[in-house]
Amino acid sequence: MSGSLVQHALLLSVALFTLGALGVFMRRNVITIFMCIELMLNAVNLAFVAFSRSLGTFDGQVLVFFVMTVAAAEAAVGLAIVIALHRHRDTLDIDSFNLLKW
Amino acid sequence: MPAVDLRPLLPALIVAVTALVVLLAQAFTPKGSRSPSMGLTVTGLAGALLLSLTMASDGRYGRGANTGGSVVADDFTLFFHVLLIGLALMAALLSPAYYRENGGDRGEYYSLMMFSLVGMLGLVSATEMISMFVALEIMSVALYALCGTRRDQVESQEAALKYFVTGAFASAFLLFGMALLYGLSGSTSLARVARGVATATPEQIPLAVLGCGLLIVGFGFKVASVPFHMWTPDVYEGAPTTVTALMAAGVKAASFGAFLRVFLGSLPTLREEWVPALAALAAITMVIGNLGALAQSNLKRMLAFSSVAHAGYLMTGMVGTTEASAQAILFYLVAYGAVNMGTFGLIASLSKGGREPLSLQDVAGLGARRPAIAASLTVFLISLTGIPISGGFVGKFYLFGAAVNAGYTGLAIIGVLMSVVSAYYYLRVVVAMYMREPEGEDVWSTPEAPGRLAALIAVAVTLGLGIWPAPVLDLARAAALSLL
Repeated sequence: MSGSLVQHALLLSVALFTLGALGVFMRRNVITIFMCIELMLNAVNLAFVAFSRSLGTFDGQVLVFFVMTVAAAEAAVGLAIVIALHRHRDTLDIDSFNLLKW
Repeated sequence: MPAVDLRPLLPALIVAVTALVVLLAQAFTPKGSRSPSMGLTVTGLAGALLLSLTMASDGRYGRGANTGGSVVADDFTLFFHVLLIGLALMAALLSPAYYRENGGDRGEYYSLMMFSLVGMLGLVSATEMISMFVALEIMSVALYALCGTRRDQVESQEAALKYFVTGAFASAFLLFGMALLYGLSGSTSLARVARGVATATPEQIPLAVLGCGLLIVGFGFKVASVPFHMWTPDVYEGAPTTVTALMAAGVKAASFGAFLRVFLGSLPTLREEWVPALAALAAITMVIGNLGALAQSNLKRMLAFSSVAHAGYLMTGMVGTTEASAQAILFYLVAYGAVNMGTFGLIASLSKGGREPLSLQDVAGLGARRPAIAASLTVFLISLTGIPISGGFVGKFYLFGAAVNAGYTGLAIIGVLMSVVSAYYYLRVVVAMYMREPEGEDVWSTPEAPGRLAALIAVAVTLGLGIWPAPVLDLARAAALSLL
């Protein structure tokens, strides 16, 4: 029973990760892109927890705590960068940030 | 429960404490008086460098020590520690003049630089995936902020945003790869992962291969290999030049350190699967990096594509998967680090009033006006091309040699051909410096003593490695042996 639960959790994790990755490419708003990246990180968290449960070791769950902490730090710096950029430009559209060519 | 041996963490701890001290000192410095940041930074980094050298000298001082199986101070770690702290030291020496000309010599800058260094030091010493991930993020998050330190400049903010988005995206891939390897082995320790992969059942092999692939994507972004390189030119161009120097030299070295530790150290049993993938990536990275550089007129962008190309050369060495290839990569990272720090450093120390010499017109006639600077730049560009008597030549010789020994002769031939192509865009700068008449007045600053010292060290290392490479090759070999 536990085996199939883990499989379902992993499938969900892969689906969420793919959605997040697609969103990063398809969305144009910086904040939405940022949310998509957070979705990817949380998909990975789900995979770690699922593996941790099926394997009975706790390394994965410990790693999840670190991922959450790091994601929070990353969000702080990332949003600060977005605000700094918004002071120069009155938009959050990623295509408009084209002073340097992609 | 045995006592935890904290010695492997000491160099990083010294750097972190120095970063906090600099931050505090800045807060207590009265407005208008001279900022103590650079002095404190250099002192702290020199202390950490001395400590690393002492540790490397003997087992009694912590060589080979191990913190709970998650951080080790083996020869490989200490080799990188000395290299990375040395590079940060040079970047710190170059910074005050650059920031005075471009606005705001602030304490935060030095602190962030050292926090990023803490991440790099952790990245090369981590033998466990949690520590490795946290170290990678410490390095990256500090760098995102560093890219945007020129708050008055839109380009700098834009570079920060692009680096942040691509960097965070890459981290997610790396993390998923780690999740799959954890699922296979039940542990985040690289040693256990290695055992888990070696004893994997046939059903588990696809999981391991997928994990490897995701890790290659993650590391590919960090070392700027094609097709994960698209952020590199923009970020290198937009970031403050001293930060670009640290990124090109330090981040590349630290990322390759972790790349080597994970793939050569822990996943050698899967080499049948990942070596061909890496060889293909190396080939397109060399081709696209060099062809991209041909088209650039901006020096910083040209060097960014050159950095992509060099990721390709380094990966060419990696397909060997023997200690000889690790040795070649370590040696080349030293040569490449010194050259990049020197080139970007000279550009930074010539900058005046917010402008830098970035086009061929800007450097035209530099040979007559500034003979010492032009000569140093020539040494660096010769080394980047891979012409004898420079460290770059010896490095490429060993890298391509490792690829040939592994049976990838074609890859080595692509590497050599692409080095010939690269001569065009590197030597174009030399020709402009010596053969063209200067245009307009000499508007650039004269490098100050700290900047000159950093450039001198870079020249000495570049020529030293070219003329007498044996000592560094021996150290790199010892480091490689401790990894495999």
